[in-house]
Amino acid sequence: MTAPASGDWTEGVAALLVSRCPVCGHRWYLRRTSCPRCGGADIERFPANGAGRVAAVTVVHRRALGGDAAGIALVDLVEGVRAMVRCPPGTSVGEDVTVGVVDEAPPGQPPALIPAVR
Amino acid sequence: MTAYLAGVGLTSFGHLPGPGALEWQAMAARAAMADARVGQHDIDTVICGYATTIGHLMPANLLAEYLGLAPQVAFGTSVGGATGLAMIAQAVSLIDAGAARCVLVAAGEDRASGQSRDASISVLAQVGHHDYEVPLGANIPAYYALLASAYLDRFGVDPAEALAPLAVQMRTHAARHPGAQFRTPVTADDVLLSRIISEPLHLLDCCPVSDGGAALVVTKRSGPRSVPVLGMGQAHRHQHVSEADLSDLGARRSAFAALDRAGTTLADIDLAGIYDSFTVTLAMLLEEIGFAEPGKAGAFAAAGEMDLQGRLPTNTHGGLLSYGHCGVGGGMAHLAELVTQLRGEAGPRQVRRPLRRAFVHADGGVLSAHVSAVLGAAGEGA
Repeated sequence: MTAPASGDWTEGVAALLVSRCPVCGHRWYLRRTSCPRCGGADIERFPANGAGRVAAVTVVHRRALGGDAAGIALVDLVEGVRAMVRCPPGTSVGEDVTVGVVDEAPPGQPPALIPAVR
Repeated sequence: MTAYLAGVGLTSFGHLPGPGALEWQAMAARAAMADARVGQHDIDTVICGYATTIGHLMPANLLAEYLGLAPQVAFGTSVGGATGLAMIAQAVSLIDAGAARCVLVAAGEDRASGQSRDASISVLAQVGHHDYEVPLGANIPAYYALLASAYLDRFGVDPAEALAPLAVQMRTHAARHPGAQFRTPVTADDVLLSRIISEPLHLLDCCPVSDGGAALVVTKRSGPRSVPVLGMGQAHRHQHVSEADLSDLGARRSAFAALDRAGTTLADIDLAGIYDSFTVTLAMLLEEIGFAEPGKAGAFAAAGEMDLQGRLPTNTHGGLLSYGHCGVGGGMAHLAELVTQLRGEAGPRQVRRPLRRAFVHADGGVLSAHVSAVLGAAGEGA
């Protein structure tokens, strides 16, 4: 459960991590160096199982930096945290999904890791 | 509370090339000072909102120098769309504390003509999480579209009944205001047939990007046209939509802090100014605050309850959706309009019944920062 992890997809590692405070048990997704509930600084991070349910979803038709339409969802992971991920158009609120980390970079380019509904 | 809104300045909004951000701020500030009948030497405090087109570190000092002011206190403020009301809250606090007597609060920006639309959308997207949200290609319409999808699902309603009527009502209001960016009436079908931006939000569910400015003069002393600030409240419970508690965003906490401070209740509010960056913003705020039943804000608008003769005339200038949105000044236009209505100076769009209590609310980020105020009748306490 608390296998050491060197980082998540925002740090160049193909992993979706959940943070947990061993003092108060609070869990969260957005990386922090202290617990937002109790202030504890001894943070554990562990890989998410990937299973979750869609809480909100949209298809963006005009992305800030150009490009095609992109599905984006907020997924409530079974670990009890909410993550923003890419998803296929047609994904619905309430749908059970599995999230993983994919590399969006074109061949030959440096990796561009993004969490996405599989 | 003992502070008064003594002067308002609100420019026209639109795609109006020419003035830069500082000039829009100055135009609004001069109008507010003239309206309050105060001169350069009367202003002891200047508070100014950020402008994305200049990104200056010291916006209040920049404006003060430009206008020839030498205030004892000057500072800029950044709370996204809630910045305008947050600045008013600071002005009121300084006056309450005896630390200021005459405060200029100003904002303005050439947000439409001073940068490309893509640049504007890209800058605004940065209220999302730098590492966990922005890289997914999300932008401000996407963050609010996510909220809209959850809202529509929760109440089992569709955009035609729940969202479109709010855009229609804002346009109806704007048609009566010569300063509004969009004045041609629209129907619910027009909203639903407009270009899709971020599902389920269409173009007419989204406010435009505008040029413009707004300013207020807040004073310790009252006058016959001054509008008292009876209470203010705030709540700040998240920054990123990923961490938002959709059942308790902060709007109700902020609103009730203001109402309690003013010694009044929702039932006593005669008219409102509610932040409406998107139709869903307006729906969720009206409902969390308690002006409309859960899931029924669209029906409330469709029944005419937000029009001039309705139970709660709301955003009678046309709101962000149709008067326009120049950034910080956009969130101050609601307040400027309420002062104009409370004074009975709104001309053809004047609400034709006695107005004793008005409520204004703004949010910044993704329903992240909330600031509310309750205003009294013009001349009350004078």
